[in-house]
Amino acid sequence: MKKKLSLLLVLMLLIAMPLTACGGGDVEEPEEGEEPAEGETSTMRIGIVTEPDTTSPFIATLLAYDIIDNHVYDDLIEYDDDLNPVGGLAEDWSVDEEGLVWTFNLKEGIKWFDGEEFTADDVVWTYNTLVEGEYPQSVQLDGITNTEKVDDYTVEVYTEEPKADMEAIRVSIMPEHIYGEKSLEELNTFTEEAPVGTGPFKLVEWEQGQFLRFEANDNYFMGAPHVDELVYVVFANTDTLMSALTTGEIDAVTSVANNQIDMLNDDPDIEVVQALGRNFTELGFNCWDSPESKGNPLMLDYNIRLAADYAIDKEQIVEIALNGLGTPGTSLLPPSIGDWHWDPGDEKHGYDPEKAKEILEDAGYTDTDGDGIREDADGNKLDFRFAVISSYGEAYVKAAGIIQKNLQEVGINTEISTMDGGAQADLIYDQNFDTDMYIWGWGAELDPSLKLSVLLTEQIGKRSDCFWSNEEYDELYYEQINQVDREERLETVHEMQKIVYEETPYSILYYSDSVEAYRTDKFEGWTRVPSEIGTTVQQVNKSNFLNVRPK
Amino acid sequence: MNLNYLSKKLGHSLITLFIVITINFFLFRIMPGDPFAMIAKAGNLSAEYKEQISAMYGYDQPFFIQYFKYIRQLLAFDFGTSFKYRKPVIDILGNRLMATLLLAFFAQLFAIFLGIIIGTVSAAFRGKKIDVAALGFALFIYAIPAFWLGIVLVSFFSVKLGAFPLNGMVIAGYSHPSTWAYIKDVANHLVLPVFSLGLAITGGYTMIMRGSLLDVLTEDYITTARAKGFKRKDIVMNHALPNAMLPMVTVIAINLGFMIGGAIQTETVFSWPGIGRLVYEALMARDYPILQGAFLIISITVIIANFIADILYGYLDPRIKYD
Repeated sequence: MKKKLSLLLVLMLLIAMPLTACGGGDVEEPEEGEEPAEGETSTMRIGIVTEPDTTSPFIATLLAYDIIDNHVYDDLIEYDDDLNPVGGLAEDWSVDEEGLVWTFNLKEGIKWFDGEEFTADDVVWTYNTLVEGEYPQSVQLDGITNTEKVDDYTVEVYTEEPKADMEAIRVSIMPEHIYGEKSLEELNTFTEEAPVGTGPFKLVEWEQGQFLRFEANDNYFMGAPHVDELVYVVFANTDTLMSALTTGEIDAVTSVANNQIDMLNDDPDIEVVQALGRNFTELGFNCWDSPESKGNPLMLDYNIRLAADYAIDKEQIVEIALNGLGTPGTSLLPPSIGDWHWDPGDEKHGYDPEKAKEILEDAGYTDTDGDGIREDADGNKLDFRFAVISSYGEAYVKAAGIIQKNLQEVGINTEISTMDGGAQADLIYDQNFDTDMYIWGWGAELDPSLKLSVLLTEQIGKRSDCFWSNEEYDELYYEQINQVDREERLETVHEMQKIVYEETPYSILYYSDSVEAYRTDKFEGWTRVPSEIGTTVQQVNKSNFLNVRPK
Repeated sequence: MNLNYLSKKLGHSLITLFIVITINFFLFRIMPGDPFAMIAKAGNLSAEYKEQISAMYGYDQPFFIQYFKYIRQLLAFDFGTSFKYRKPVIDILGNRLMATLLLAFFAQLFAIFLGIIIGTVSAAFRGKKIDVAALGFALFIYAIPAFWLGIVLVSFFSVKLGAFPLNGMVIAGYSHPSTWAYIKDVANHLVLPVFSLGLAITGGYTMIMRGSLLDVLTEDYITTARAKGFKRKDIVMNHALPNAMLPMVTVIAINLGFMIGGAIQTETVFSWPGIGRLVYEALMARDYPILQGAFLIISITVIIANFIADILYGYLDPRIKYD
């Protein structure tokens, strides 16, 4: 009997053996694999959680696509490290006196990855195709009527009205000799496995769900990168992502979970970069003044929205929902995009529940039946449905809890329903705005036009998410897109934000910080853009990956 | 094997497959929400452009035309075009399915062996200390969530000891000098996920094996065998075990289908590029063609697994042959 038992035990061991043996034998394998790679070629590994959707800018909708865009392609104009416009593919540019014709002189001798020369044809094709079709990037070219080739290295861009944000256009110039023969329909599905660009890195391998591998373009016209290979490693969860950074399996991450920052700060080889994020997160109100709207019509009274803005403790939201990694919100455009941000100063709606109650009281909302919820003169209760997306992490859900409590204190009742992002979009766009408030966030570009356009009346049912409409705001918008004089435009942009702040279609909750981290033991020359205060791993220009080098 | 039995089972499988395809088609047509709403939000698409995309995916045609087109395309192994990636679904699913099959196959193998052995030992020594220990072990691992075990394994073996890689199926971006190096790399990455997923289902297998064997051991023919003077080992291994395997086959077949689609937790912990993660991401992005393709493939796997189980029944249980 003992013998039989030991036999079985041996059997069990035998079955377990191949597993452990094969594991044990391979333990050194990763190091063995990496060593020669580091002797000859330097490979930087960057951990990401969302991978791009495609290699084509005509199709891409995900923010994660920026990896490909930034490494593979170039724009006519780029940002320098102080966020001023400088020539990218363009050597220089000028505009005629009326401000309607822009002339771009292109750099000569730039080669596409496949050896073809970059010329005016590429610019003309890219701009005209985007103007003609409707692609995610097209909106940047609004106001441009036509682009013409003057000679191989000169193009002229014609506009209807002066275009204030011409220098802010960041459109990837595409190779006409590859894309040019495609019809507009074909461009909706056409993707290159190895996209041909002019940029500092070539995408050479993409295993979906696993990694993207880029090789340095030694002929890059702004100078070859010092790192031979960039590998973006896809992680399915942020915990192993952080572990991989601490064990050195990867060299950098594009975002750090809030609760991991202290742990990373303790590691002498890891540098955590905290920068003001170019984004805002808002509590949006259903402002759709239309018989079709299924929202509570009380929300159309700006007094209620304004009172909510006063009633919400945004500092507490930043503390609790973001672990302090952000700035309480005020106006539409975040401070991180510079002086376009309008600071309300003395007019700031600080956390002031008493003021909120006063506004509601003055507007005729009182609690007559003693249930803690205010009513209007006809007895309609300030009772609102609140859609909260729970699939984008904890911040929205935590913020919603605080908002609900804050609003309750001033006599506004909210009913929270959590849902995924798609379900919220359905409520707003497909089901005639069948909710009263929601939380949503936007990324902000360095130029203000695109974000300001979201709140235009013409965007109702399209990009607008609160369906607010204001004639004065619309007029000012069309004024600013033609104001080539920056000072004049700045004033208009501030005026627009002031209107939004007073009318409160959004209560801007916060601007969240972007937190990145990288290892300092293998690579040096990590660069922040803008210097001192900006980001490193994900940037508006290509500085970091042109500067960073093996130690 | 009786040809009649075989063709009958094959017929059943095909009918099931047809029903699955039909449900699969209509399910995704009646799901709430217009996937273009998401795209429109990001890209500001006009009505004309949406129509153009709609025509591209054939959504402008009546339901039944779409349905026949769908079946015709399936016969040509055309699973449609992904909304998100704008690439043929089959291209995206192919690699992911291989990754999942690899993980599921080895995890199953691990669990089947371990489950049968522990279950058999446990039943053979019913009521003894070893039975109590084995049962306790089985219940313990049965109760452990696979993802939790995965996290523990990762933090101990990968982070602390550095013995196994943390992430993925191969060293990211590394060009393997030979196929053998590639296989070793994958094997190295496979150990922890297989162990964590396999162990999680071992508990269930152990208990089913034990229960089923105990049932068989009380049958009359076992008493007869014992009376005839067969050794205990002979009785358990040769007389009882084959009959006790029947419920196991069913459970394994069901489990295999479950693992193809349901290994998502393990895939997430280990960033394994499998189909479970793909389905989750597609669900979030409302990428219906991917979901549809994945569901179909998962269904086909279950149908095939059940078909194989049916055939195995025929071998294991001679009575079935003459039905």
